Amino acid sequence: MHSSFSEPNSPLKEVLGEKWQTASCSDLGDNYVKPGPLAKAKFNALRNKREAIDRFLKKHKDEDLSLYIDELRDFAISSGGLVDDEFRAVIWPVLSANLVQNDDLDDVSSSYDSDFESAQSDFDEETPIFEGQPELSLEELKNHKEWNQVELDVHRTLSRFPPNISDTHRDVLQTELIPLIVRVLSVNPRFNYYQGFHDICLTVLLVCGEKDALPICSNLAKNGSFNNYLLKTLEKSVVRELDLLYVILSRVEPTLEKVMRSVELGTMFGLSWPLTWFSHSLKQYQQIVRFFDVFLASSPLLPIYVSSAVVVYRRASILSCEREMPFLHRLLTEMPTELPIDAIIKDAVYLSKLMPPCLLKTKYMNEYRKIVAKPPRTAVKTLPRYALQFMFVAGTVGAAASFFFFKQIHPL
Amino acid sequence: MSDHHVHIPPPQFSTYATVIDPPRQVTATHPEEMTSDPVPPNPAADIEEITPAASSTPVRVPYPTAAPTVPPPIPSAPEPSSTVPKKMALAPSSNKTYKQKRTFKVIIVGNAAVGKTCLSFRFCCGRFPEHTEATIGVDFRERSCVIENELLRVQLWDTAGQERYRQSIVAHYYRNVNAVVFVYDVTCRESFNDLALWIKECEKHGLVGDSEVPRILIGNKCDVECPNRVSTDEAQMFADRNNMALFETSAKAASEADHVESIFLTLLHKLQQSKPMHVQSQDERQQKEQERLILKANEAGNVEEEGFCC
Repeated sequence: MHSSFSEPNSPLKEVLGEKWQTASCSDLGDNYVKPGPLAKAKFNALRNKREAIDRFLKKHKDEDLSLYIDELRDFAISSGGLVDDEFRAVIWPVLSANLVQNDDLDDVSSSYDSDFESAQSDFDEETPIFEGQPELSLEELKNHKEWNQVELDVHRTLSRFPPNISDTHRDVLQTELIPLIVRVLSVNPRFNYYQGFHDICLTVLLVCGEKDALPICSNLAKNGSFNNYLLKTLEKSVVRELDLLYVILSRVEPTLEKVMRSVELGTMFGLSWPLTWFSHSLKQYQQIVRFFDVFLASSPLLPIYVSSAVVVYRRASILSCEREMPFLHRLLTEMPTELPIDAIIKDAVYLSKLMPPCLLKTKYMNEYRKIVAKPPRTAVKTLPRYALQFMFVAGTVGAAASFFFFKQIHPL
Repeated sequence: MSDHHVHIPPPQFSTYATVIDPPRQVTATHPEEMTSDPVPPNPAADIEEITPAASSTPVRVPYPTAAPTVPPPIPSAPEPSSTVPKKMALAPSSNKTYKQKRTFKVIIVGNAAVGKTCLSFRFCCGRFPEHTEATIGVDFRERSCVIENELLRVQLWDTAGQERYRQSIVAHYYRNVNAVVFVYDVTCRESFNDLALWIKECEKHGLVGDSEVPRILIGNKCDVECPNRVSTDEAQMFADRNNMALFETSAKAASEADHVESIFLTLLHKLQQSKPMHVQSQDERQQKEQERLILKANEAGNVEEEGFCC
């Protein structure tokens, strides 16, 4: 029994025997036990939350959970997330079936792009496409154009598996993962696999098991932020989204933004963040699933706000880093092992309220473009400071001079 | 044919210290790692059996132009492979000043899973990585070397191999590179055939064969037994056609460790001899510093200004 904040004790151990797939790793992390009253308080809060979710799920056991989507989203976003993989396995399918959609208006990229198959058109079809199709056989899947690439990537994802999974389990999961990904890709013939999508599917597979993972991943691919990444070039999708990071930073941390811009850092350091929902760069399993809770329950652009919050969180190390692009790039690519996940999520949600996507992509983006295009501010801007004093002095001198002048002409 | 089969002796140099910035501490020595490594990317490979065979038929092609520039071995230098823990050759020592500092940007490209990350890791951190994953975007690694009393920093940009990343992402990184390393997998013909695409992509960015920017070709995983591997002759012909030097090696086999090292050091020597054209020289550094100062002054100005307005 351990009391850790980031790795809550799991009730899953009882069901380990039959449901090992969902058990993934709740009992990781004896190394991270932090003693002290604060950790204890956090742990208690988390335990209360787990009880609350448990009560909620028991109460609505026989109902359609989609009716309570707001409550579920609230659980997922608020501090601690969904706490346990057992709950995640139940709630993620519901969340993924009711993903928060972008307002069509605010999707700037879609208006740029003629070949964009909008989320709307998918959304109209109530029944998921893959259910209408006959289930593809393994042979058919192997003929898919992306099979080889997926296989390559899955076979080298070893470090993504939680350490408490045995080699046999891992092998089973890996052999399940390849057809899973390819099935998701076959949902739409125009989907193009990208390296990193396997990280998404792996996380879902670890939490929900093979059967539930397919609908969840398909929903994410059809309606989630990954739809863009799978359909369009990365340049037109994720890179454009990442550009918004600078817009956000320029408004909340101008100094930081200026430093990053002055070394021409670009956004490649964070490329994997939205592409894999941070699962590629985070080092702890619990952090990854916590982020997935939030992203499943919020707008597709939230990963960008989280990226901004992460950069802001690392402000001190960025400012003290050597001011050269490669070093800053490496600094930011390497995610610290310990991250205050809940604080970062809170910040990100706050940022998304402060600068909602629709404003961010239009007004704020334009304002940022103006800042960037502006030549370095020089004399013109600093003038008023002295000009006021100058006018004051000149005015006084002038008044005095004219007073004496007129006095001399018309002595009273 | 026999004169093609020449061994490059691992270059030996006078300064030894470990200052390179490994993301994790370099602790494992090569032999231990080979036995304890639980995650070989090529499950079929049995290193202990294959490496003797590989070394009995050496298929190493010397770098044609750079070879004469390798300085004669300095007698006092210890053998790099014999020391435990592994020391990095040419590492700068902290108590020395160098007449010049230059930074070279080297980009590594090639198909997915040919071993780009492993090669760059081997060179920069002196060992085979425990397990690598697909690279998303670009990774950056650095190593400093001292050649002829000059401190050289090599920045290796390790790129994503998947086709989707080829144009939109990797393209950003061709700017101002000082050398390009093409990698293919000798056991995977497709990766060899696709080299033409990578070269084309590269030439799109002005990095043509006869330009100042050296390009080398590395056939990786030569320790893996494979029925229809890309033959050295074929690769050599391709390399000649494209004005590149060819090396066949393995990032994984411990016996090849020095070879990986010598390939990169050969490249480094070539770069060191080159005119400091794109390289950031002292002057450029100072200029950059000044720009930064101006920027800081501006920032200071802005702060004052805002203060005054209120």
